[in-house]
Amino acid sequence: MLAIFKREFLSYFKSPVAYIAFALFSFLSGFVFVTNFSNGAVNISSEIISLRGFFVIVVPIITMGLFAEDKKRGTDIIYYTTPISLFSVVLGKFLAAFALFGVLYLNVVIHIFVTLGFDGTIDYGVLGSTIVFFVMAALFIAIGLLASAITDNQIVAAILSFVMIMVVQLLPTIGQFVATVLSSLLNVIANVSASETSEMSKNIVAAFTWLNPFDRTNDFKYGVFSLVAVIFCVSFAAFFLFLSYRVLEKKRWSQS
Amino acid sequence: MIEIKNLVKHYGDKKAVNGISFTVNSGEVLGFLGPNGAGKSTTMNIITGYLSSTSGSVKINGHDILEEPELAKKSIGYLPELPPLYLDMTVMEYLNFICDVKGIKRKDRASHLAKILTLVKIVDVADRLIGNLSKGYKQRVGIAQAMVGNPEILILDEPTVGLDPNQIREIRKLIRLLAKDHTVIISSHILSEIQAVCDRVVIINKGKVAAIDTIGDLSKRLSDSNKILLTFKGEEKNVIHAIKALPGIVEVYSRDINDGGIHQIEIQVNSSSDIRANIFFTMAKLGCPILEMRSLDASLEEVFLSITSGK
Amino acid sequence: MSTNNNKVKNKNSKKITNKRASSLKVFSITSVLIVLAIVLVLNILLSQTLDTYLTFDLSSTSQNSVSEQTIEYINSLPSDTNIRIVGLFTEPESVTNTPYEYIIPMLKDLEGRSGGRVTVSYIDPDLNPSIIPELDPKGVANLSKEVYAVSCNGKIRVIDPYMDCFNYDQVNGLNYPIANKSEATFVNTIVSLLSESHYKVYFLSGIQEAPHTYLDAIFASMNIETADLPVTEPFVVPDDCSLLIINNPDVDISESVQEGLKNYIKNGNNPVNIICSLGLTQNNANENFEHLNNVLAEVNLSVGNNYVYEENADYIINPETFVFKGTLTDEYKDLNSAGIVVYQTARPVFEVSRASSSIGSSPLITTSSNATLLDLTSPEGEAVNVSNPYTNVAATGYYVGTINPVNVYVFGTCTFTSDLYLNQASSNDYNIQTIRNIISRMFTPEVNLDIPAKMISDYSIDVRMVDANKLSIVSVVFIAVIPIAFVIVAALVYHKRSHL
Repeated sequence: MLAIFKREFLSYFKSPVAYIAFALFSFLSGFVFVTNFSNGAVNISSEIISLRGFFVIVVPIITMGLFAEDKKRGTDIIYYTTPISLFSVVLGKFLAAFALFGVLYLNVVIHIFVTLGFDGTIDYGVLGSTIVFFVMAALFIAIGLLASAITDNQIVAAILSFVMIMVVQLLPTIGQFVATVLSSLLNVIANVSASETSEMSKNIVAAFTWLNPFDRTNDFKYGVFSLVAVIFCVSFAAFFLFLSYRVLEKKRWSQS
Repeated sequence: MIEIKNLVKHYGDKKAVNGISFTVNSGEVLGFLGPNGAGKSTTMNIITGYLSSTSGSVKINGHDILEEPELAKKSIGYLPELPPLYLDMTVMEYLNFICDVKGIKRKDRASHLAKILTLVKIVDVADRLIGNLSKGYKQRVGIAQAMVGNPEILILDEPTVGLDPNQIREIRKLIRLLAKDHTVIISSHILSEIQAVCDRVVIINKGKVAAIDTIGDLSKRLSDSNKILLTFKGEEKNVIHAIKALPGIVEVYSRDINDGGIHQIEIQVNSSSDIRANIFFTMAKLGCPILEMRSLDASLEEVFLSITSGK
Repeated sequence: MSTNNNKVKNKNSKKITNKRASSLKVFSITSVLIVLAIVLVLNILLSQTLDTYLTFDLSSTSQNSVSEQTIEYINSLPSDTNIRIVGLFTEPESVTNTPYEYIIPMLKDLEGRSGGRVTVSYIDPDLNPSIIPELDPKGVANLSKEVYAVSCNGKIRVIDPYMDCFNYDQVNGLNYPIANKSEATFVNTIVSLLSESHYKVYFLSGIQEAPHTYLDAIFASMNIETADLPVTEPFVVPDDCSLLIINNPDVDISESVQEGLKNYIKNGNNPVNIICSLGLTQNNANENFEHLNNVLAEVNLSVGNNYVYEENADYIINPETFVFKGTLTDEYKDLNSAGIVVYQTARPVFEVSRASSSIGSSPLITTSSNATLLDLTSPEGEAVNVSNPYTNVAATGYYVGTINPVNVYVFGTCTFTSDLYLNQASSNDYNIQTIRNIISRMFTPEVNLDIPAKMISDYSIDVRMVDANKLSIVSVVFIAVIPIAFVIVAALVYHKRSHL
């Protein structure tokens, strides 16, 4: 696993991909920081948490090549014909992308130093936001990894992971939409009463919101740490990694 | 030692491999011969664990590739049809990576890799980007990768494809060298290559084994009898008549070239006993000088063609 | 016959061959579904049961607990004190993502550590209508559902969870809370219930003045009553007025109010304290406040109709919105810790000299020596140069040597009294320090607990150190330099590696 990690992580720096992601991320986070700075009110923990919104662009760029590239080049055969286990391959690639996010986080560290240099204060909220940053990065990277494992075309992988992450980000909106559509359908077609459908709508919206990691982790920026939210993101990340592993393994027994 | 029993691989309705069985003994060089699409690469992919067979078993030194994959794969070094090269790494970086993947300890690595680099003759490109190398060098890096960890078994899928004659000769020399203390399986559709390097041959056609034998025996098998080609000066009819009279002669064919009195005949003998002495004496009695006399074993090409076309 | 055998053999082998592939497929899919089920169940269980136990509040402002200062004060009260806090609603099951998450746990903590002096209960008047007459028999407090009633010794105060417990940011047109002052509100309400107050502050109203909830909170924390004083005819300032605040009106006062105010200054029987903020707003940009200036002339001051504009880069924060730094004059330097304040869209405050030795005035906040006044009513927005290079942004006017002191503070900007600025500043903001100190010097302090609001989103950087130069440096570095540097490194690395 370490071998895969080392190779993937270093190869990030040998291709322009990582640097473009860096430039993009530092531009976006710099923009947020400078906007706050010009108002004289810099809130690092808010800024870090708002950076989650940019993951939907940065993560696909970073993860699109992780498996798709191998499949195209034929180098994935190494994973199947050497004693290494497929799952450790998945983990190694995941860790490489995750470590890259650690490097991206340096941008934030620079912002923190600048803030301290201007006599701002840092509190536990920053720690909370940082935890959210990494935990949600893990979740999204796992999703991106799955997208890369499914196809052998990098562009398709990037688009797929973009869509999937977007869906996660928009879960409450989707839930609202589903609830409205479903209740209007039931109201009109099946003549179900409005009070019953509104009850059902509320439940549907609540269910979709429950799945949304953004809402669960918002309070971290105040310094309120909810272990349940962390477990939520980590466990779902693990699930996506496991799914990627199974998708890779499919190559062996598939009949098509 | 590799045991392959009744290997079958389906792709939808198509049977890429349809019941292949053979054994590879330790220390031998086995050739895998067949036309394109016969199922050679698929079989090799199954043996090395890349693909899972639909049914059948592969045992490497007694370890089933599906049930004890790590133990089985540890003994195999594989060069697939498309060498698995990372074009954005240098040769050394890549080989170090392969060492990591195969679990070679750091302290043994330097000397091990130096040996491989020298053997495969890629020392002077060790720090170049693989993407910048020529096809010949890339192929050699692929072979080097298979050799990492000094596995007992080397499986090489078309190792000389795309190389120039010099390079081909080098690779064959290398394979012969490796054959001394490795078990090697080579697949190719170049017959001379198999002939030059291998001890035994498995001929595959349409997903099935068409023939397994040593090279010598194979060519002998095709013909029911030995053939001798005789070039001489003299009266053809008399010679044919005289030879037909000798014991053990099946048939005599005229390969008449009639180049100013020089004739050529094909003598089919029904046993492997050597009747060349008899022929010599017969010709001497006739007073016809023998210009050339040689055994005509069917060439591997003829064997191949006849086996794979229609039989 | 042989073909039949072949057919059967084929079918059998097909059965065997498909079995392995399909069993692997089934195994794979089932394993994925099982893992998904485990993940879902685990998360559902955890969030239903252990969520509150596994949540750790390390926010430096500990939103859920009361400060030591409060505990000391509560426990210093006689042990038979009975303070009753009743929330007139059913206690919600879950407080997450509601404003109550900042109030209810804090009250629980207060109750638990009060040694029995404070009791907190939640009674819904719809279910128990008798609670309202029970708490407020005389009907003074106008109790209704969804508020808190704090009562002690027959006196009762009402606290609205939304209006009284949070500071809101109104600058951006959004109305979201940026600070939680529930502890301060509740505790200071208790303090004022238990003590008498002598002072009363009036806000002149009916002149399209700015909102002043922040100042209200300051006064409440000092146990000082506040009220609005509408501009009615005839206009008289009440006798119990300890401080009159004219808070950024958009329209001028009428002549009769002018006379009433002049009268108050000349003949007021308490110490006459007036704080007048006359900043420029969109609505009053063309108003020259003739009548108000007549009042201010009583103390040698007048407020102009132009924009103060800094040219000195060290004093500029945001020139587009006329936000600049000002310095406190030497006389008033101790009003805050840095001697610096922030002002925005300010009018100049002129000292008009009068030939009377009993009226004095002095500058309070000045610009740099390189400031001008802009006249934006002309189409080109020309700068109007004033002969005196120093422009006052605030000044004081006072009577010298009389029996009844008169102190008038005139600010040409809204940033000292209006919610528009105060609500979004942090508690160590220099302007806030300044206004607090001005106010506290007007009154002999009584029991007054200064419990800071807990910022919901906090920390400003030190305004002193921010100016236009530094801002542009920071902008350029983060938005342009660093990203471009990465792109260049990318090109270099790529170039170098490709030639290996």
